[in-house]
Amino acid sequence: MSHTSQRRGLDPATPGEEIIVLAMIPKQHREDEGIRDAMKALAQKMIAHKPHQWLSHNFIALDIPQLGSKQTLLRWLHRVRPEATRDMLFKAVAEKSSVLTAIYTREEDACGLLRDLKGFWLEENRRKGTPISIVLSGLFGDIDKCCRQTGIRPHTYLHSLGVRGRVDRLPNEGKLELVTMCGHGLIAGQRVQLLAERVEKGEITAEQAAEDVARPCVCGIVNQERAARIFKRLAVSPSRSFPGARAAAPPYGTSAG
Amino acid sequence: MTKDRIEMKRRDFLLGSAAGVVTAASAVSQAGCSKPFVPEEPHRYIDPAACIGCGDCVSLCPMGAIHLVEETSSIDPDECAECGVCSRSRICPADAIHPGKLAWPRTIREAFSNPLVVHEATGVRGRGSEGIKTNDVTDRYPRGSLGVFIELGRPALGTRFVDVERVVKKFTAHGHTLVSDNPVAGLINDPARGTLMPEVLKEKAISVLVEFILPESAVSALHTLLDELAAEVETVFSVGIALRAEPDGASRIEDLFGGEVFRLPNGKVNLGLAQDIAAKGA
Ligand code: SF4
Ligand code: SF4
Repeated sequence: MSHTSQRRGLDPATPGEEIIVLAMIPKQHREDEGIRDAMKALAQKMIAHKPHQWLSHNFIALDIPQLGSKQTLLRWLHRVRPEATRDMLFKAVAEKSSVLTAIYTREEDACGLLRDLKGFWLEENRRKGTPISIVLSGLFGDIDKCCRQTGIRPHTYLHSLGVRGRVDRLPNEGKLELVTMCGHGLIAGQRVQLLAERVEKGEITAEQAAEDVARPCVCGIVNQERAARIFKRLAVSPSRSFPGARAAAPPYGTSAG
Repeated sequence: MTKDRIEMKRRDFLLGSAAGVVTAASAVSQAGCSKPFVPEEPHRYIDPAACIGCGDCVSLCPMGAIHLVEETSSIDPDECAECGVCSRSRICPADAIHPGKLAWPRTIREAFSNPLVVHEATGVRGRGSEGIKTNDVTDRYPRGSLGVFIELGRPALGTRFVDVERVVKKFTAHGHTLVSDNPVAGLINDPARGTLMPEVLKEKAISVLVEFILPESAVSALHTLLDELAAEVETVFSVGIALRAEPDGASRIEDLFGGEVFRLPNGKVNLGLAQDIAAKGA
């Protein structure tokens, strides 16, 4: 999720639309004894607090060499029980990967997870000496609320100062809201356009468009619930800049804007 | 191409495969060999003999590099960033999209644009450091310092490495060197000037992230650097600032950059849950 901090369209006027929880094992601790168990326990808790999204829907189809033969087995199981397989895959990823992410679209679920983590899970990590860093991504107001509720004090911030340079070449703000949902930049502006037009014509639903647009994302970090809402707005007025979008990608300062 | 003709070609393709009246491409794929029948290209390409002109792949390309002309799609190799989206989507009914055989320096396109590819080209894994994600353990950004992230090409436009060089050169000239664990560090040929290997300059990636760590006192110089770069680059860049929280948990972004500076209302916060654990284990 390296750049969820550059997402467009989150608006303090509509809080709680998304809080992304990212967990990472610091590089120098990846081989620590017990760290994989701590990740597995974390994966279980992340799922228990009802994330809207964890892993991309097409994750099963990707070639993840680290999963080895487990991937073949899970692919086979996936045909029978797709949803359950996503849980299993998430846990398999937790065993191998140093990163886990999940999207929450209800503030109480994200805060509930944090409250939960602060208890036994953190105590166990302390006891065993297994450090796993936890990062929240979303509106600072939402994060602050969760921190206050759980008595957690922020350690480090990552702020976005927006976009600079040839902003005249950028697609409109509505499209940017969807395009920036993939931190690796794999969502195409013209795909967004095409899907918005199809929603407008009634050929597909906004939810189907949201599922389609999320497909290139390999991290499973696209918030499909918010994407569907954006598609509904785009379908009404494709070139409109939305109130929630904040001024269309203004750089700070004055030059080359 | 009319819808009917596309359907006809699609049907021919499917029937042909089923009846054993196969094209060379499908014969190869049916034989279980992933090699295309046309000579391997040094970049991702579409086999014109196999493409049925449905156009399904065109809108998927984040770089707008796929074009459908006269019933056949093709990839513009200069614009393609080798992200792999078109292939991974498995959207092509004719299995006509091939990865090609990339060689240096083209390999860096894939290394920077395809998240499933390891950065062998630069010798550094991933697109950048762990950044703020593990700052509660690494203390990479102690109080009094700023992590400055400049992500070229993001959003939507992509970037050439000549723009990456512009940024690295400018910061280097002002005494700020690129962090050593950034993948771009492996492409620098003159660390004193911040220049990149000349052969990579025309290469293109969906985005390239560079990182510098500055003292807080450099904020006003940073404003100037960013203003100058904004006027010089041919693409866009997103700016991110990493800051250690104050002891009470607050951010100093406004104190440092001023209230008028544009910033998004969203971002990331490391919660510090690993801090004392790592310290204990060290
Ligand atoms: S590899 Fe990526 S950039 Fe190249 S044609 Fe395919 S989708 Fe477009
Ligand atoms: S390459 Fe495949 S998906 Fe693209 S137009 Fe040709 S047949 Fe259709």
